[in-house]
Amino acid sequence: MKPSRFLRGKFPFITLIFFISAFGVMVLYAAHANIYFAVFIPCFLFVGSLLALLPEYFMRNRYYGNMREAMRQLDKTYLLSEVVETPDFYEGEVLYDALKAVCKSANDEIAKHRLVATEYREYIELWVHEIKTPIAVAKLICENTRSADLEAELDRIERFVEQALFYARSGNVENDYLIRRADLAELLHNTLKNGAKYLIAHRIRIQTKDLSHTVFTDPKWLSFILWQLIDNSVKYGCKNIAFSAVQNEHSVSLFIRDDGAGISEKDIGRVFDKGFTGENGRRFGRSTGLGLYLCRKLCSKLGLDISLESAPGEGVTVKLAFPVSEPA
Amino acid sequence: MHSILIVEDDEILRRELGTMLEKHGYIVIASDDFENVIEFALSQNPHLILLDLNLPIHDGHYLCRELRKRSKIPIIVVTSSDSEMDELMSLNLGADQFVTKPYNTRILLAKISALLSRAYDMGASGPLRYGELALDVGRGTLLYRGNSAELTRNELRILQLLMENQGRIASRDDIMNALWQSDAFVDDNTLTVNINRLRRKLEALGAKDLLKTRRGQGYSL
Repeated sequence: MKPSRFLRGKFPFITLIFFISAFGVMVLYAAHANIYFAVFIPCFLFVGSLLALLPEYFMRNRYYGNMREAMRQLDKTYLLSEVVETPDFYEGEVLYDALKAVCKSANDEIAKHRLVATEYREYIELWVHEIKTPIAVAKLICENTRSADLEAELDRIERFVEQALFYARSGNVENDYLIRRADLAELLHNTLKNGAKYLIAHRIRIQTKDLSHTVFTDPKWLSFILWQLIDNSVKYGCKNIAFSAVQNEHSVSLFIRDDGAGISEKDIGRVFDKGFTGENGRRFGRSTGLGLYLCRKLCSKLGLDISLESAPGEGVTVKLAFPVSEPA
Repeated sequence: MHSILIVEDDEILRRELGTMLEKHGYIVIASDDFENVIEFALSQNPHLILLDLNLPIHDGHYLCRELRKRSKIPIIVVTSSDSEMDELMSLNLGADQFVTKPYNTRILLAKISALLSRAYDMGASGPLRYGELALDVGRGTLLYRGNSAELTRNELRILQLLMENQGRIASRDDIMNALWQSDAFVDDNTLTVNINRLRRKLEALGAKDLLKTRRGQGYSL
């Protein structure tokens, strides 16, 4: 709090004291007091009253200064009332009580929603695990009765269920998230094997090159991300998908190149946005606007860098960069 | 013939899993009494146990630990939970493999046969046979009336699939899937080339027209 700002707040008080002092001078003068006396006494009282403001200024300056500093340092300002001390002057107490009340109600509200969100996420996870048994049974029945078409549809259902699970988890990955050393080639091969039927049915040609690199990541999460990218390529009409990797000084980069429809210039900046489907979404009609959004969200949790290059008619190249050193 | 005990509380899953395993030449044992799983398992003495984690009365982790105390039967934990914790815990409690639902049946079968051959030394199980044709999968050699030929990995995989499904038609997609599962991500053209080479090798051995093309359906022996 600057002194000038403080004084401006005290303007009515200072004006009043000034006029009283001036009035004092006039009264003393009218009473034929000594002229020096008549001026000196009121001036003395005036300056004295101003000086009396000093302790008040220092007290407030310290208190509000501390509060400002606490606000600057706090990352969640709704916790402010927890760190601010109780003031010992009246307006401060009113402010403090208001702050307490506001923070408490905000915190209660946050806690309530957090609980709702957590419970909902737990429900989704439970539900996904429950539904996996009937899906497994249905797939076995297909296998035993050789109904390939139905099985392909069940595979699709399974993928959507999986997506729901990862969406629920993407909010907080502390749960079930384990970075470990993995072989990129093996990871990718497993992903391709799991989706083999789908890719074969769509007659997709796969090329792999220089994939033997060690990366540090969570295999399950990465596999999900890779599948979202592969599925996108298939959805937007590709015939070939080429996987290659390059070792740089600080990272291993995985390139996934397809020869599908590509992305127009005006859409490319927004493909990672939630719910964005764009021109291809209208043309192919199977977009949810969730795949790439989830990919980027999960990538940032895993510490991976995801980027994408494309031009209409020239396919899409996605680059995934893995940090080389083991994360601390 | 190996016997497999399925410990699974979902009745339909138990039945379908059983059907699938029986089709692939295993003897299936199952029970819906979850009170005395351990005693039942020990009395039946199967070659392998497929164990679900979420079970009534005792959970899979408990059963796994108790079984391990008294037996060395290979155990594959089959569950819908895909959490790292469950996997770690199962393996720590003595399970040999961990498979999550809905599983890829090929992967499940591969894990079963790998575990069985490791546990019971099936290496000497002998070659696959079809008429006078014998395929030594371990060595990758093909025998027919005293003549032999070496097969490449893909040719071996294709013939193995056909011989395991004798009399049934394997579609091109089935064959490609089998190749993909062994890390060979072949396309249509490569498959055609592989089939033609395999056919020529069979002809060179004198086994002409053994590998039949079923137009629009696939191939069969």
